[in-house]
Amino acid sequence: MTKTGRRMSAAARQEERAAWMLMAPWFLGVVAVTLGPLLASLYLSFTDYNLLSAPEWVGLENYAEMLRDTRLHKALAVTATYTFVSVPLMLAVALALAMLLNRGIKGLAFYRSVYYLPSLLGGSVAVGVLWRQVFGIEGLVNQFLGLFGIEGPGWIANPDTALISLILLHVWTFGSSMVIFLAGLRQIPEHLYEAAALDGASKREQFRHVTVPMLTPIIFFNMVLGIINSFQTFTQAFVVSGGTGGPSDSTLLYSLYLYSEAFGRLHMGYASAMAWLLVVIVGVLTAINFYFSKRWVFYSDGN
Amino acid sequence: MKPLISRIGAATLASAMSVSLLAACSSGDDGDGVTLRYFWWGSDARHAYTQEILERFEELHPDINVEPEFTSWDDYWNKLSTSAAAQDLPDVMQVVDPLMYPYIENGQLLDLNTVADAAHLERYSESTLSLSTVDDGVYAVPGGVSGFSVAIAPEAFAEAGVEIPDESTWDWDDYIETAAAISAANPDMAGSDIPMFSQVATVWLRQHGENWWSPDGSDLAFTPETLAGYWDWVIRLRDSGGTPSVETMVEAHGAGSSAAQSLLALHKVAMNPALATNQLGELEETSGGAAQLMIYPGESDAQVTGSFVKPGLFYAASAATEHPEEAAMLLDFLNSAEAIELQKFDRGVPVDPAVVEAVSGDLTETELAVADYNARVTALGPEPLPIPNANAGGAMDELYDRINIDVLFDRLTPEEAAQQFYDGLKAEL
Amino acid sequence: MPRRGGGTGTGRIRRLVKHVMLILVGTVMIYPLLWMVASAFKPDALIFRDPSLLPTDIDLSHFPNGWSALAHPFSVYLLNSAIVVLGALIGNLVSCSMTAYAFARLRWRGRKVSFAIMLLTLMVPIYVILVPQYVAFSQIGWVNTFLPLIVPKFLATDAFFVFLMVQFFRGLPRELDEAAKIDGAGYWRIFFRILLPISVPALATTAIFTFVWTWNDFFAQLIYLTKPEMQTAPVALRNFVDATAGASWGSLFAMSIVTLIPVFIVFLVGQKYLVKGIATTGLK
Repeated sequence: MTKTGRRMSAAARQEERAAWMLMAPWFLGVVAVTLGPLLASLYLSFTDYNLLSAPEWVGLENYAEMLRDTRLHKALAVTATYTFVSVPLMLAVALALAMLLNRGIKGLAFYRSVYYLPSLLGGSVAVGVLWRQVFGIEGLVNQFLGLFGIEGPGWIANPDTALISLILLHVWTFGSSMVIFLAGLRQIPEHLYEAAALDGASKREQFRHVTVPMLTPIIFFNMVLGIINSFQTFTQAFVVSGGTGGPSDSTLLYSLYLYSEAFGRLHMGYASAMAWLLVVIVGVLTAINFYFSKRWVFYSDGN
Repeated sequence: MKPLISRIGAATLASAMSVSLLAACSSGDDGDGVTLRYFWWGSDARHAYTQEILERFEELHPDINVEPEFTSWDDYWNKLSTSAAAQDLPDVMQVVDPLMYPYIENGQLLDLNTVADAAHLERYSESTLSLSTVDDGVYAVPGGVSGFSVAIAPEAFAEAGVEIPDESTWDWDDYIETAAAISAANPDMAGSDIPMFSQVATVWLRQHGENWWSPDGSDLAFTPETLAGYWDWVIRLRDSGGTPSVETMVEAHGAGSSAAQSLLALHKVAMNPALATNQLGELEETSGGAAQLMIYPGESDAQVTGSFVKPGLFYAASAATEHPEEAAMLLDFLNSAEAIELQKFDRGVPVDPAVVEAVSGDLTETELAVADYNARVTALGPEPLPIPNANAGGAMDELYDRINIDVLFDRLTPEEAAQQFYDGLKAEL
Repeated sequence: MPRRGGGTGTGRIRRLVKHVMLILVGTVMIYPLLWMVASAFKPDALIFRDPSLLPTDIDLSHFPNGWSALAHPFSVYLLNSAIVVLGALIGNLVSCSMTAYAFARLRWRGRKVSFAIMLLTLMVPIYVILVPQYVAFSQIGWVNTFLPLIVPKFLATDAFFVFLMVQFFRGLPRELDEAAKIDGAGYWRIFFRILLPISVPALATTAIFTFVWTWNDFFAQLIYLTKPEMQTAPVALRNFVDATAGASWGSLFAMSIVTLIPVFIVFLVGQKYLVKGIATTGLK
């Protein structure tokens, strides 16, 4: 729709005015609520700040410290693994179940609710305890393996497997992505399927040529947000490891480390610098995502 | 720094981050009375009786109104530091070492010498105040003495046919042998937990005449060699067959220090080498059997006593409180016989012997056992613990936890671990 | 729905297999929750010692005990949560949909920059902006009120939902607006009369997630609400377990279930609207 041209200049002005009115709450929110703290944290990232006394300007020292901080590097590695394994896995599971639960099955509402239930628990204190019942040494997984005579490891306790259990915990809460996919599926106009059926397209072809393209904006959304959120995952890792990121830092997610620096050690200046490193990393990933989205995401609005 | 922030814009923030006089007055006067905010951590039982204590205080002082604020340990410190950042600390708060030192160092806590009469500082002995005294200022009063102990399940010993060792003579090898004997006699139970926290190492170092910190907290006062010796002992314990698997231990450790989830409460081990004594009641309740507190091994051979008791928590007042006298009165009341009647030993054994005496009539056997353990430790004449370093103190637990697990999984030898720990802690000073 | 599995024998078997699989996976999914429900009915001493899902002696005391264990009856906390959630819900639905419409459909100067800023706000970890935010809110005396938890929602600060709705709006064919525009409809009219009605799934998703996430979110609520009578349910739940002073696991699980019930009901009811899309609005 770039052909509006000068023919519409009065209309364009009207459009602009409407847009600014619609955007008014957001602008107010950005200025009053979001941008201030955001810039404050940017400022604090150049200071030594322990929350208990005024911040002291230290220039780039926090950023230099990040280069030397081996735990930070470890946390980045753990978080990257966590993100790049769990996000695709979770999206695949969520999409598959959304397709399965979309239509044509009895008891849809029931299944949908059951699958969404774990996501309702969120980061409740109970999650850590419950997760131990699944992945503990005497937990469900090992009881199941025991049926085949396999003695499973202590999934949570072993530094080699703890991250796996955390990834599965993330996948376990696929309910939110599933719900978004379901909503997206319902928004695909019926007439597209009818037209495809008239053209003699099989179910599989309908899926490939109607469902997938029409769902790409939502897949894209879930992917972008999945990456952003999993880089920020905190609560689950906190409740499972008791806040330590242990054993042996094997589940030290970036946000967990940031939190313990900020509130455990009262290194708020350093934590702010860490936050901005995270913003840069996630920002680059998101930009890459947007860049490549032009090749595969299909918008009905034609832009 | 101020012009810079304002340059950044964000008018809301600019005024907020700079020191402001406005913020501290949320606990202002209401009417002619005085309102105090008191903030503590604990579980539901503690929240309930503490509010009763505050009601009694208000009855005694009708002109003072106390607003309770409470949360759990996990949330307490981030909430406290956030309110400190907004110059909005509660008037009275519960604190503990080592996390309280940054607050002291940064002038957030009131020097109680300025209100010594209202706080009745004379009730506290020098040794119970040693951890909260910094540069002659007294910044907190102890809420109760607590400590760590070897807790054992006598029933499990009887079942395994193993004799309970004599606490006045046993040494560290006896500990391993006892643990191994129980494991050997009972296939469903291991002898002892592997210690996961640093307390047992504290005892070990002290028995060798060392400490984590030098007396003024400015430096480390232990040698990597001694610490390596401790981890060596841990490895021998692990390899004796007298403990659950390392994975079981790490899993139980990750569940937190709640006594209800401890392996001793679950009847999976017969000895726990680091039970916080104020949790004895919960332990007995959930395990359904009595437990016995024992002095640490090795005391009879050691030149210096390793076992220790110390205040398990403290009460402090905010330096910015508008009502220091009233705050001090509340601090004092929290340690009064009237308060302890309701509180019992949940916050540790009261430091004032007169108060213990006053409530001794209605103490349970469990509470008497804790008081008795404290008395036995005190009889050994332990030196008070040095004050942890204000910077490195907060880093120690995390570092210890990580390196200890590396040792248990054979990722580090005791020597490497001790050196790494020493260097890591030194770097934080 | 036109497409359904046929009535043939193989079709029936395939459906049966599908159901068996769905039930199996579902059981594994909710096993931890079943464990929690079972534990809420066990005496405290047995919760961690007896792993069975069927308690042998049922102990109902955790519900009344947990309900009244804290400073106020648990209903107070549920009510506080409900207030916060309701405010956030209305705020998000109104403000995020307006913002998303402007981002998705209108052309205006500064759109791209604003969009990038919106995404940026998603990427900053809350723990570093929380402190400055708290300081600011405490300056204007909003601590111990629900305002810091509700007012920002009316200002479209929940970028997740703005972005979500942008994606949904962009998935709708533009011919709809164009047709309305030719009929002389203004932007607000198009927004209210054309876009919103066919965006029921997106609005329902926003509503459900706002409800669930606000209901469960404890961190901001913990920081801003310090008086016991102002605490919300997730904050109150955290008072049952303390690492240093002991824990009431039975009460925790019982009250966790009580807290879970309203969200579950909301999801059960709300999910109907997830499936009321274009199909039901006559826009085939």
